Order: sequence, then structure tokens, then C-alpha cells
Amino acid sequence: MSAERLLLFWLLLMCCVVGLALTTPEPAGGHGVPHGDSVAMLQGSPTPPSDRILMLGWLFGLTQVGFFVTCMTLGITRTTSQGRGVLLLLFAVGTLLYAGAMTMMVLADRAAVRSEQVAFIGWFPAATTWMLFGIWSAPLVFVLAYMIGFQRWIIPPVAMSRFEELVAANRKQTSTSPETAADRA
Amino acid sequence: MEAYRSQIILGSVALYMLMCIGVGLWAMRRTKNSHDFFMAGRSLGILVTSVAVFSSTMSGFGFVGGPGLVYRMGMSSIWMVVCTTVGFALSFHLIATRIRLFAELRDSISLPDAVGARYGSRSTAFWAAVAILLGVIGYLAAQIRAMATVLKNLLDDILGTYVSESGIPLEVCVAVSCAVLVFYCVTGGIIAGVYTDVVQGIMMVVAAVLVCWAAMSAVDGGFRGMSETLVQDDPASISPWGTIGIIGSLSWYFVFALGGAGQPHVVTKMMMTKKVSDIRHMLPLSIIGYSFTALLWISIGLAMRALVLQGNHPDLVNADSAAPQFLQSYTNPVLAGLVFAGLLAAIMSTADSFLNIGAAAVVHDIPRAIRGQSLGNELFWARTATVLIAVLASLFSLYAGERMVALLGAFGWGTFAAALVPTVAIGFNWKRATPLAANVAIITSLSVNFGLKFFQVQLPWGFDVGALSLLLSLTLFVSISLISKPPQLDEDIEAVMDL
Repeated sequence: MSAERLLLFWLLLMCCVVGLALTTPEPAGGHGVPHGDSVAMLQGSPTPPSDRILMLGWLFGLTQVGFFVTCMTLGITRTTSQGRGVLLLLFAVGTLLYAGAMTMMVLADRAAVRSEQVAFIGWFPAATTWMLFGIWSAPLVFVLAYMIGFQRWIIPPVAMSRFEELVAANRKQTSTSPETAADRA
Repeated sequence: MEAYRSQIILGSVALYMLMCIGVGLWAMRRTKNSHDFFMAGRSLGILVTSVAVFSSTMSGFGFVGGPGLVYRMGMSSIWMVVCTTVGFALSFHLIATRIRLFAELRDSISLPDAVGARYGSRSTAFWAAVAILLGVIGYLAAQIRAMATVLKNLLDDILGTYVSESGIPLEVCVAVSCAVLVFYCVTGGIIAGVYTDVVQGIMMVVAAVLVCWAAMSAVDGGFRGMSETLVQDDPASISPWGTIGIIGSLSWYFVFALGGAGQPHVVTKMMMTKKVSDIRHMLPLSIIGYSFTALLWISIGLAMRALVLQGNHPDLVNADSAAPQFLQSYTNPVLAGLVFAGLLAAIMSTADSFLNIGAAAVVHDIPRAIRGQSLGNELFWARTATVLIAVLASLFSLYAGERMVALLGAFGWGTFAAALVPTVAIGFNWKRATPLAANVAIITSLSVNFGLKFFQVQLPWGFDVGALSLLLSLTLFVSISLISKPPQLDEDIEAVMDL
């Protein structure tokens, strides 16, 4: 399946997930209610999120991960397939870490909602720590791939030389075109 | 020192504004033609471009609105910040190299210029320019209003009682702040814009780190103390979804992560690097810079929420006053001066980019799309258009009513994302994308975004309107391109897309 068809697959899947979520009846104050003690603050819904909404949220997160990673593959060079195995491995590891962080965050949040006690990891509740450090840091694998593989996977020297030839040809054509001659005159 | 607090803050802001004027004068000598005015002669180094990219992304919204959102909704808005790594990774993988190649190949001086070249279609360039112009006026009006409000608060502290009961008129503050902005944008064009961005970006990073430290010191137990206070009051507020819930939070993640690749003021900066190979180093620098500035967003919001809940600070009437009140109450005057100057820097670094791309849309892109050529004496008209757009946005910010300004300000990010991500980020990497698909995506995104915002439609579960229009425009763009006949591309464009 080409990357573009895979993009369409993720988009249609995301449309279905979002459609299901938006048609799920929302309880009163489902996305926040005024805080009892402060005029400018909100507090969470008095009704805890149902398993259906948590599941749809998790799927929405995973389809985003799939869509983002597929998008990033569009930027990979077409001129050479050298070292493609290492790149695929990096992308696979990155995707697993990213999807894993999303899953761990949803699971930790579900556990916190269902129990009386909120477990902490470091400064924040466990689910929030997964969000701040897991979701933020997992895509660093793709940043690393971009940095170390720029000349192999993004714009290799052979592609750069080809580009310079194209620019030179374009400039030559522009400088000899009748419009440019007329402009100069 | 505490007795001179207001004077120190105002002095820092005045120094900062003088610096902007100085950079404008310096850049004027380097701006010789419209290519310099809009593209900085495509000669910027790694550090300058990286700082310009992250400082234009972090606008006044992040420094004032961000802490306000955290105060109001807990962790929900942190999704707009936690997407930094994937957002920049997407922007660079998809667009940074591609747009730089197109800019050099066709000597493009604006994003719609490159769009017109890619699709071989004047109508697509026209619609891209219209989307940019609409977003620019709204975003700029919101930035100007924010800048004038900050200045008014500072001036009122010192001079207000000598002038009138209501303090310094807002019109005066709009005029003063706009005069500085317009001066350096008109004299030095984007060269002044990017070099002031460097100073602004550095100030923002320093201010954010120091404020984060101050926030940790202001609450007993630091971040752990803040978290425990919030858990005791309402566990949802410190959960990953905050008060808005899982669906609303993830809709923000979607539109902010992917939307970066469609922000014209950011993408245009990527066209200005001296060498294509510089781009690889810009990615980590932009992420580091933006992540540091985001510390202010997170720390002030959480600290103020915890301080109010603990009863250590009076309740706030307006969530947006979280940042100014924190700075007045919990930082020393020198730091407050630096942060207020950093706040103006955050607003101006975004506003100058908008002025520049707005002027390009008026004097270059729209005339070119309609008549096939841009205006003669482009540099003169670019400077004139910069002044006119600033005046128009100022009048709009003063007289259109707060609701309309807020509406168009909010319209900005989502509009750019939904209109330009399919056309630019996907279309520049996919030969099969057609002009028809791009036009449909842009028009749909504008209609859905503006329609739902204008009629104040609230989607269930707090789902963001911008995310919905982005999802719709992307799906339409990919589907229409796949069912259409593959387009005939210019030879050089096809060759670059094959690289």
C-alpha cells in the first residue's frame, strides 16, 4: 500500500472514531463545570468518563500516531534506497514508543479514575508524567532520524547535485528567455 | 528596589523598544529590493533561522493566554505544548527541505508563490493568499490588542492617575506599540523581523526559565506541592486531560501538532536559510527553544491555580490575569521587567512575521494570481502595504468589538492549519495532489472554521472546531486527489518532487 493510500486509511479511520465520539451522548458538564470556589476556574465533569469514551479517546490518539508517522515518511528521499533498513527500524521503534506512551498514559489515567488513590511518578500523577515526558519525548526518535540521516534519507548528495543542475538550467533558461531580454531592454 | 517596581518594568520595556528601532535602522541598509524585504535575500544562518522559527511560533497567546488556560482548565491546554516534538518533527520532515528547494528553484518570495509554482495554478495561489490574508488580519488584530493592553497596564501604574480616571486611553497604547512595530517592519522588512526575533527569542527563553524557577519557589513543595494541591481539589484538573476531557484535549493535540506545518509565518522562515544542509541543525534548536519558553506557560498556570486553592493568593476574576498577577506578586522587579519585555517580544515576534506575509499577499501574491504579474516598484508598495495592514488591524482591534477580535484571533491557527497543511505539507510531497483538491481543501476549511466560530457552535466533548475542519480538509484533499486524473506538472517541479 502506498503512503498516500495509508494516509487516507488513517484519515477515514480517524473520521469514524471522531464521528462515534461526537455522536456518543455527553452528560451535562461533560467537558468541565464552573469551580465552586473560584469564578475563573473550571473543574472536571462530575460524571467520570465512561469506558467507551476512554476507548474512543485512546483510538483517536493511536490513529493520530499512525497518521503522523505516515506523514513523516512522505518526506523521505526517492533518489536512493540506501540504508532504508536502518530508517525503517528507527521509524518502527519510534512508532512503538509513541503508541506505547499513549497507551500507558490512557491506562494510568483509567486506573486513577477507577481508584480512590492517585499514584504519583515524580512530581506529577502517573498519567500526567506519561503525558509530559512520554508523549513529549517519544517523537525524539524521528528527530534523531532526521538529524543523523539528513544526507542519507532526506536529501542525499546525489539529489542535491541533481537539484543544483535543475536550478542552473532554470537560470539559464530565464536569462535567455524573450521576456527577460525585453525586461532588460 | 521594590519601591521603583513600576519604573523598572517600564524602563525594561522602553529599552526593548529602543532595541527594536535600532535593529530596524540597521536592517534598512541591508534591504535593497523586495527579495530582501520578504525573503532576507535567502541568506540566514542556522541560529538566526532556528530562533526566528520558534519565537514566531510562540506568540503572545502562549505567554498570556497559555498560563490563563492552565489556570482555568488545568492540564488540558498543555496538549498544545506537549506536541512540540512531534509538531516540529512533522514540519521539518514534510516541509522544511521541500519548501526551501522550491523557493530556490523558482525564486519564490512567499508561500503562495511557491504554491502557485508547485500546482501550476494561479487559482490555488490566489486561495492560499486569501487564506493567509484573512488569518493575518485576525491574528494581527489580536496581537496588537494584547500588546496595547500590556502597555496600558504598565503605563497606568505610573501615569494613569495624572491623565484621567480611566488611565491612558487604549488608542494611545495601540498607537505607541504599533509605531515601534511598523517602524522596524517598514524600514528593515523581514531582515529586521528575524534579527529582532533572535533577541526576542533569547529574552523569551531566559524569562521563561527564571519564571519557572520563581513558580517552583512560590509554592511549598514545588511542582509536587502544586500537583498534590490540585489532586486534593479536583483530580481531573491535573490529569492529562484537564477539565475538558480526553476527546477535547486530543483534538487540540491533533490541530497543534499537525498545524505547525501550515503556519505561513513559520514556513516562510524555512525558505530563508542560506544552505539546504543547515536545515538538519534547525530542528533540534527549534524544539529546545520552544520547549524552554513553554515552561512559562505550564509553571505560572499551575502555580497560580495552586496558590489560589491554598488560599495564599486572592481569587482571580479573569484567568488571563494569571501571568501579570504572578509577575507582580512573586518575582523581583528586574525579573518582572525582563518578563514583561519578553512578553512584548513574544507578541511582536509573531506580529512582525504576519505584517510581512500580509504585505506579500497584497502586493505580490494576489496581483500575481489575478493579473499574472506583481506590482511595479514592489519594495515601495511592500512598505506602503505594511503600514496599511498595521493601521487596518489596529482599527479592527479597537473598533470591531472584543468578540470579533477574539473570534478572528482564534480563527488564525486553525485556519492556517486546515487550509494550508493539506495544500503545502502533503501537496509538496505528493505528485498526484491536484489544484482542484487544494482549492476545495482551502475553501472548505475557511467556510467550516469561520461558519462554526461565527455561529458559536460548540461541538460535543469540547472537540475543537479547528481540528474538525483540519480533518475534513485533509480527507477531502487526499480523496479528491486520488480519484482525479494525475496532474501534468512542469518538468522542473516534477524533477524536484522526485528527489
